[in-house]
Amino acid sequence: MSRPGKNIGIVLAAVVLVGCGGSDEGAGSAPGGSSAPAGSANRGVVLIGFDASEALIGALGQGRIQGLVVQNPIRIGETSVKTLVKSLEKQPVERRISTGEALVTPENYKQPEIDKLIHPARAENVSNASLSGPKSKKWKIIVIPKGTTHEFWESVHAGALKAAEELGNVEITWMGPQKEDDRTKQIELIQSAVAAGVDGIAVAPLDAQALVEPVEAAIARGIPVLAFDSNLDSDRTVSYVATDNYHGGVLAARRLGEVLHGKGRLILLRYAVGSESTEQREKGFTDTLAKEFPEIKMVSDSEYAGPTFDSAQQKAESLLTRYRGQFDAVFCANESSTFGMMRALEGAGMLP
Amino acid sequence: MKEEIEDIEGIRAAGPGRLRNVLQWVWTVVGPFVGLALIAGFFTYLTRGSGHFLSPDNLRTIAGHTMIVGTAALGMTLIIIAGGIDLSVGSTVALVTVVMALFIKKVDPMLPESLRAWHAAVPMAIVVGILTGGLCGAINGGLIAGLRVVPFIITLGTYQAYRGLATWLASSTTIYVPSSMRPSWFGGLVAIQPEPRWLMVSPGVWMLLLLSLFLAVSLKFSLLGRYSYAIGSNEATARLCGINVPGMKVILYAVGGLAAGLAGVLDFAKLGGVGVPTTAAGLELQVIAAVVIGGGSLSGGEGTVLGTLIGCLIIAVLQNGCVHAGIPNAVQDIVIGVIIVVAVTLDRLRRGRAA
Amino acid sequence: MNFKELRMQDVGKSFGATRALDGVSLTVGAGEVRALIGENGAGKSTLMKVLSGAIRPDSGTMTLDGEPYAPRGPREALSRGVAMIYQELALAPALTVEANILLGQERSSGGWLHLREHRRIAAEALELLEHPDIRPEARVGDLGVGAQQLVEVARALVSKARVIVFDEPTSSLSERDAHRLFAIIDRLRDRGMAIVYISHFLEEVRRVAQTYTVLRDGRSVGEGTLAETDERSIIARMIGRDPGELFPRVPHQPGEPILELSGFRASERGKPVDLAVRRGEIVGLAGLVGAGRTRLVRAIFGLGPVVDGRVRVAHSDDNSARPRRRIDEGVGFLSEDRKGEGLALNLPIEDNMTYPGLRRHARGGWLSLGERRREVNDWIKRLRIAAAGPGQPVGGLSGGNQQKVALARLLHQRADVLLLDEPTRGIDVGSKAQIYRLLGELAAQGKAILVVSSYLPELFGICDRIAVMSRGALTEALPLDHWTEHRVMEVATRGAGIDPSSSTD
Repeated sequence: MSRPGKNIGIVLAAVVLVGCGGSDEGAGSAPGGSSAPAGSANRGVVLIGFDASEALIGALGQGRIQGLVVQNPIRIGETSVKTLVKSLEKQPVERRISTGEALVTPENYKQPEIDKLIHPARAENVSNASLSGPKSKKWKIIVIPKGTTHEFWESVHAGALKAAEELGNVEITWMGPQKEDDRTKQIELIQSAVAAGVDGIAVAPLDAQALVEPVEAAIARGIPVLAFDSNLDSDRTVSYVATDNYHGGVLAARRLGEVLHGKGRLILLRYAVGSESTEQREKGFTDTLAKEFPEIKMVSDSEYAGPTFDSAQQKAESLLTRYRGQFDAVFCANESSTFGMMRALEGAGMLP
Repeated sequence: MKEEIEDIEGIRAAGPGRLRNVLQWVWTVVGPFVGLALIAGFFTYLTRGSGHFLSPDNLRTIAGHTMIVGTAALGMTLIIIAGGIDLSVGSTVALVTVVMALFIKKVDPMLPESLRAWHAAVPMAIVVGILTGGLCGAINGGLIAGLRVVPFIITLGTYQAYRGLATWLASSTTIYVPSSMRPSWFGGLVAIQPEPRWLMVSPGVWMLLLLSLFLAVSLKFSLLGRYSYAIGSNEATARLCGINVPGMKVILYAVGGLAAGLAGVLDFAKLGGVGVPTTAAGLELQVIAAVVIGGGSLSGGEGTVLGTLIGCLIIAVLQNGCVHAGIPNAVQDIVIGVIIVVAVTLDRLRRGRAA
Repeated sequence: MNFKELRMQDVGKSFGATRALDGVSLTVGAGEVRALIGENGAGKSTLMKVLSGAIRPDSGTMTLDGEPYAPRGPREALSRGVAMIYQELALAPALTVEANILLGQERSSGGWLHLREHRRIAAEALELLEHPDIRPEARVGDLGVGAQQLVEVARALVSKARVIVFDEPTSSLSERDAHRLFAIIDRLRDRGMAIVYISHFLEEVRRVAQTYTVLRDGRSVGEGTLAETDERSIIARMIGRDPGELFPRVPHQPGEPILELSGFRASERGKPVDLAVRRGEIVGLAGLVGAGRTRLVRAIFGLGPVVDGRVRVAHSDDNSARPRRRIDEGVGFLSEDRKGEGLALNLPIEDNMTYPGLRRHARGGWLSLGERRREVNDWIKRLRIAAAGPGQPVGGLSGGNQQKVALARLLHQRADVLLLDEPTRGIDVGSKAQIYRLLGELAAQGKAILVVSSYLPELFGICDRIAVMSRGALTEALPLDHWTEHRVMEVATRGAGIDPSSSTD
């Protein structure tokens, strides 16, 4: 993506934002009333999402997305590996490590500290260390994400590699299920890694309960396991390294309240069942809305986007058709569902 | 003209064909093993540095990973031999996990204290899970026989419907069975390291082997088995010979469903007692791939239990080997795709030369 | 058009060790219809493929008006003026008559079709056939078989064919369509075309052709003009021996009736059928293809619907029994479609032979394979089936041996009533003779046999009584001395309104 193009986008965004604010004032009485739906083409639906990808940031720059809560995937990857190695070297580690989260808006996204968060380094098609090859480093660990198709995980991967480079005594194998709901595959990955004789495992569990057995089986064989991104119902893991997801949800809710001026109708497109991290975000989001913005009404909060862009877009398209003209804002709790929702909104002409 | 050529073939087969038949038989039996050995050898070479690939631990792991696919594939073998296909296997498995989770949560508190202490709800749930699978299969078979629509379409429909039913029953979420309701032995069913160590492999693997033996014997020595081959080879002939084709179809798909139900029980145990409406997505394709790699023909009449098991092992070895060698997902998928095509082509060549 | 003749000289073709054609010579001149007569497997189809360029001969020469003719494919054959009308029509059913007529010979420039010219050419061709009633824009799939065949002929005409080869063209035609076709062939002959007419129906050969060539085992074994040759000597040439040897008579005595039909109808259009077959006799069902014979025997066996009437097998009365029930009652059925329905080709002989009677070898659902194999081996020996063993897939057997397996199945299931639909279709003469003898022996053992056949000499050779079916109506089954081949054909083509016993010639 070329820089000049982006700058134009920013200028445009500024203009659109001003316009947005203006019409917002004017339509202040409209939300709640059935006539003059705020979600019509001239103003567009407010979209608040989670995580940053090239496409999402671009849309943010054009004012099509009003806010994104971003995590720090690089730090997640880096901290996970460093913490795991620390524990392998018998040093004390914290049980819970928060890696921070931030709200990105069309207003603040050019600031340098935010830019670093939204353009993290990524690891693409990096060749892996062979798990059972000759051991060239002291420690050999496997890092298992929830999936391998989201940009988010590529940044986590980059962070993990960065840590490995800095430490110098650890080899990383990166391997995850392709679909972000394939619990069985993740269980088998852990089992295969144990059989291949790794020294440690860092895993982003797809399910807080289903992964307990294989993880504890690994721990029982003296292989320390660290959970990242999403927690596990077990107190035997080394540590839990993640964004404070609940707080991320709180940030998103406050941003929504701000843009809608505390009034409006909302669709919450959930991510997937049993995913601890996104459920936390959704909970933080709904809790905050209920507490601080009682006049924002939930139109739909029972639909799940599913594991891929495609599934999210499909679900979003049917939601939009179902509730056309009956909502002002949408919240999605991860990258794929935000992107799918954005594409669906674009397709329906509901974005500015 | 065709007749004349066949005449000659007939005469030739009567003469020195015996040796050829023996060779053909040897090749049929040994052929799939060759593929497995080649793939295993390849990964052993790739990971020669550590020697972990052929370690008993890893072999145990690979065996454990064939459990679910293998159990479902036994049923699929029977169905494919009879010229059918069942695309709803993965959805059935998901439905079974959900039904089991709901059943345990519902029934456990209703049981008297003495039975609760024994976790009696779990064995009951296992039976319910298997029967749920059988029911799904019977519905498939009933629709196929009753509506006379090809199995591909019917099971494509139930593939969606069973998944939808699972999601609906689970209210679109995951059903967690509290740990207090789960007996300690339940996870042990599918544990890679079996509890009494002398078992060598997971109890689930032993069960798979026993069932395989039973199915292999049934295919050869039972009416059901012979009738399946008849229907798969030529349905018209089967009808002509007085075989109740629609009735057999219901039975065959129900048996396939029971196998899928059992696979669902195993998946439920593997997931640690979680009913997941999205689990086992794409399982049906792995299962079909295993049967086809093992020599099953999608046009029916062909397929063996041994071949299917080897097909499952080939897939499991590939997936496990790729983890060991650090080969990324994308490459794994390409390799599995290539192997399916190569295996089936080789199989055809082999038969082409033999026939 | 100054075409004179197509000449084939000593044409030979081998497939591996088989001599499919072994020095065939044949000449057909302009204005001549030459019948190519021979049994199935005599090499007629191979010869035809050589003519069309589908296969290349190993030896011999072919000339068109003295110029060498060695087509490398059907396209080249067509461009030299040699067209084929195949038994299975090579038409695209979804396309129009016009598109089919011009298929492969479209007039176009720059990739665009000259549709107006197409319409004109197609209409011309159809008019030449004196069938302007077939509309050029009709979908071929909507036409009857007879009309479809005319479309093929029209296609040959458009290609300026000088030689047209018909391969058993009447096998799926109604009597009326067949006569229409004969008239067209006459007309083509009068226009100076050379026609090769492949058939083994001697009656129709006499109607349409002037000269004949007999083919047997890949050799031409006789030729001449039909007017000067009697039927018996042609048959003797076709089968290579005296007809008496082909149809060995095994003495047998009729007993009490075991299969009785009364007022039986297998289709809405069918007329009520009354028929009784006794133990120890062979009854033949003659008639044209499509007369309803196959439908009748299938309905008896429970493979087709029974509209009304009664079937009585042995002592049980059950009109709409399924095959399983019939098998249990002792009825056996042999399908006319050996490869499509009769046998599961990729399964071994032992499975194919024993399916209906498999339960006999089962105890509680489990089979005694050793016992079964002993019985199968016994039948293989008794029927002299040439096979590597009971485990060989039937697909690898010759047609004759396949048919013996299908017959052995009825014996293994211990059927007392055998319903045989075209039992010798497409098998070699040697196997035929063996099967005829076997049927005689079975009758002598007291089995009742009902044979459907389109090959009259066969029915006359083996049956005790013959009934003729025409458009769903069946005559009384009368002893052989009430019939002649001519009389049978007459009843078969004109309908069974006539009482066959009234004119016994």
